[in-house]
Amino acid sequence: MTTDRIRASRGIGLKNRFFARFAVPAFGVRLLPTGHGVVYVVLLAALLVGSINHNNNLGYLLTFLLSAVLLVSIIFTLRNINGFICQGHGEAAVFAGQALPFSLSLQAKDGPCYGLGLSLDGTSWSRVERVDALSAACQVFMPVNRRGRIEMRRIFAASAFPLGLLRATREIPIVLTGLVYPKPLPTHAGSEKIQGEREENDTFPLHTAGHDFDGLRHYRPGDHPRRIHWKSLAGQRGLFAKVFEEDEGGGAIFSLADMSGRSLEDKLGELCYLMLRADGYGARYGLRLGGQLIAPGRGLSHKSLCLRALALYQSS
Amino acid sequence: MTTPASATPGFVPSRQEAHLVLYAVILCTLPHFFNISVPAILLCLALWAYHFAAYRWSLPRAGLMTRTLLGVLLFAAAIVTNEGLTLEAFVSLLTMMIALKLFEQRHQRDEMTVVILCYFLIVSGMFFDDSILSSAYILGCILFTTAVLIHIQFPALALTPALALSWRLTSRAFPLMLLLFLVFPRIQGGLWGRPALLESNTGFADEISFGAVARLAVRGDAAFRVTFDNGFRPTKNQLYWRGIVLWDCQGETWKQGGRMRPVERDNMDMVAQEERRGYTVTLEPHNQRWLFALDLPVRVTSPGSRLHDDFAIHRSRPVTSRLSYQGESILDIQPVYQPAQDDRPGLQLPRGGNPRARELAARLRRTSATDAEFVEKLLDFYRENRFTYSLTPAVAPSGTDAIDWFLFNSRSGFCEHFAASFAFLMRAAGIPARLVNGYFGGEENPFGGYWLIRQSDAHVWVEVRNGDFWQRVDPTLAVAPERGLENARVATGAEARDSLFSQFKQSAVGQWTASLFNAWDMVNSRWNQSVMEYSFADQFRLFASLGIDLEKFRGLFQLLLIAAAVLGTAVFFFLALAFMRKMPREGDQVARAWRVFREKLERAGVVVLDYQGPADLLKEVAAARPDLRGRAEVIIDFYIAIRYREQATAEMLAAFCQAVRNFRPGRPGRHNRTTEVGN
Repeated sequence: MTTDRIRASRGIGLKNRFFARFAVPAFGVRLLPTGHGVVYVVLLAALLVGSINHNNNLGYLLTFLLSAVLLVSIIFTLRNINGFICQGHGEAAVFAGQALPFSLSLQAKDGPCYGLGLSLDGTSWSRVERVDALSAACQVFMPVNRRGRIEMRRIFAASAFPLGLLRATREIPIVLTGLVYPKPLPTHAGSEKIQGEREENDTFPLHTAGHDFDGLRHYRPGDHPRRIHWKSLAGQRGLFAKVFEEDEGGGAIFSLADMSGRSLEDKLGELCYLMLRADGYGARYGLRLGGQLIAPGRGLSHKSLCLRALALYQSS
Repeated sequence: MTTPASATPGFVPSRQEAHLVLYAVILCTLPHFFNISVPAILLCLALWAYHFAAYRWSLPRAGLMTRTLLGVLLFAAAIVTNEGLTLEAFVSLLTMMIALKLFEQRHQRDEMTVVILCYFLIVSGMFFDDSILSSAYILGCILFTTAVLIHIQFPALALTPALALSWRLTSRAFPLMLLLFLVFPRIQGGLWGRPALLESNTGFADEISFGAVARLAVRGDAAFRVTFDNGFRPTKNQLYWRGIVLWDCQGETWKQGGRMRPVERDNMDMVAQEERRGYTVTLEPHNQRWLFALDLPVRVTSPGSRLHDDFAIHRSRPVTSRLSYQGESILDIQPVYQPAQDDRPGLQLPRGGNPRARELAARLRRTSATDAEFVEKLLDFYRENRFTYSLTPAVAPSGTDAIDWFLFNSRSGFCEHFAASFAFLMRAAGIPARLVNGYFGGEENPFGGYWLIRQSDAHVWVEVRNGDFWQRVDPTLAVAPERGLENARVATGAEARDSLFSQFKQSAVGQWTASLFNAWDMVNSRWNQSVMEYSFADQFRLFASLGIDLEKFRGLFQLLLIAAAVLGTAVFFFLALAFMRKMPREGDQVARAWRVFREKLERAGVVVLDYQGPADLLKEVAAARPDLRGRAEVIIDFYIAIRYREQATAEMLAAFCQAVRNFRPGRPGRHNRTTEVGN
């Protein structure tokens, strides 16, 4: 699928396919005229015809000057497109159907580079106005539709510097890894109950994370917004958080086998939906994926553990 | 930072950028103000003023409907004010369309289009003026326009660095430009008929009219420049530059008439070679179909030109660009009287009109024994009746006979009046006469060794039949002998400005500025001769000096040169790419070979990263190109042995380098370059 996409991105539109025949395959850089470049060349041709017809030497001089400027600008274009190094870092994660944001840092080798476009798929471009010897940060986005781990080995860099008449495109080898979680699918499927779980109207406690209200304490950064005691804030007594008696033993376990979806992907999406809903309420939850069990827990790291398990389940 | 580069939605050009584009447009349009009509200038100024005001006070921008309507109106205005589809119409249309296009600046690409059109506009200035100054101005405009083009697309580059970059681009482009200029084949005569520039630009007309103002005579522009062969220096009164001959008298107007017969060669070849004076004329474009030569021309070498039997040199096409040609003349001889059998063309007169002049001619003819005596008496008539030389004579009231009025009432005029009335009187007395329109005089440039003939040297004289010859008679000199020494502008002395000017010319400062002027004119002339008139013949000489004899492939020559030009451009293109190749960093033989190996792998589709060691690289090869694994392993093992086990022997080094050289991985196959580990 990736090969198809790359191939498709190479031949976008009739124009690109036409010009690809004339692309210069040297040093991994492809050089194509932009729309304005074509206008410029047509203009030069018109001036040349005018000069020939009038036998006007100043016309010849200026026409050749403008042509030579275009040719010389190639040197600058190539220097610009080759004049920086690009490194990716961190692992990006996103739900299927969204765009994966990869973080890059760019660093100029010699002089500064201008007006760089970076893209993973050749269609959506991120632009960096200037890259210096100090590294500049940039994000590139890759729309993804499939769950799993993604590894990008190449990134496209393009720039029409300096005149905007010729556009150079280069492929840069790079290793970028990303994780795509399944797309959440709304469902009404239930969950396994764990011992200690009380029967309630809803599957999840709406207002409390644990069970028994234990008192108030001063707010600490990182406390869940649901635990903020808004009444005391409204009474101008300051910011307090509610403390509950934790019930470590409780929580729901969502099982793949219980999901109603037709395909594995749908089931994983439903699981993802339930899991995220539970996380949103601040409830404890766990996952059962075939033989794999993730014990109930809560918090950011637990959430990302679960999502990663969903993303990677039977994907490699 | 993360907006797509291809389309910039919501692009709003900053005020500074918009101003810069407007400045570029103004700079590129200004020189054309000399060429386009006054309404077009006013329209341009109005549009620009609106743009400035709009940036300042956010006035409403014109919508699509308004723009279309305005565009059609401007198109009509350009055509109407310029008498059809001339070059001027094209330029004024271009200027106004650019001014209009400025309304449409919602996207960066609109601004770019405007800037690229600016190139077109400024370069089209070449059609009108190719002096050094205007060439320098055009070059400056190209520099600025390029800087603006860079700046609006790459705002991270401020205007000053953009200007510096533009200069670097242009200066590096110069050698290539020169090369192309020297070798690009010149096609003689152009591709098709050239649209002529409007006549208001020149002024030398093919007819003489009594009512006309002497607009030509007050202009100081160069008409042509002449370099004599062998250092010949003619005297002042030999400098009659023959243009066209007017036969057809219609009362107050003289026209060329329909006679177009080539000169009889036999008469010409009789003259001894030594008496011929050779010279080179560099003629400024005057949009007419004739050339100028020193009286009396016997040969002119210029394609498409012919010497007629009245010794006027006609050309098949108007002179619309500067033209160089060689001429040969014999000084101080008179043209043979032609047509020998037929006196009628030389005697033709309108049936009626100017009774007093006819009566005067008849009276003087009766009292003179010979034709020569009659001529003398007529000249005396001009001398004795206090005729005055003036460039702004009173115009005859309508309804009166112009020649009568001039001869008996105003008695004030310039060469055209004197010559035309003189010829009229001659014909009235039955002596064949004709008018010659040309230039008289010229100024020697001490720096350049050439003669400069200005528009103000324009002159008309008479040729009268004298036995078997046409004899030159210049009635103007009878009235204003000083015209023989100075050109018309100075000779009148009527205007205070001119007299002041002549006084100034005598002073020390005047002498100094005159020599300054001469030096400047010399520079211009050299520029014209060496650059602006570089021609096929010069190309020929250039290649001859390089030892290439183009005579052999004369037919193929132009084709070959075109091919060479195209090929040269292509070669440069790839050289430019080759220059971009990374300069090999310092390193020993092993490092170099290793780098070559890694580059080969990279081309083969293996991801080669800087931090990878040799062992990691092998894993990468195995993953990406399992087919290369065996061959790559050999090289990598060599490398590890040489670098890390210190087993380097000369044989191993040689074997390693050889292995790298022989390593040909081939194109990347049908495997994924990017691997997505999916299900």
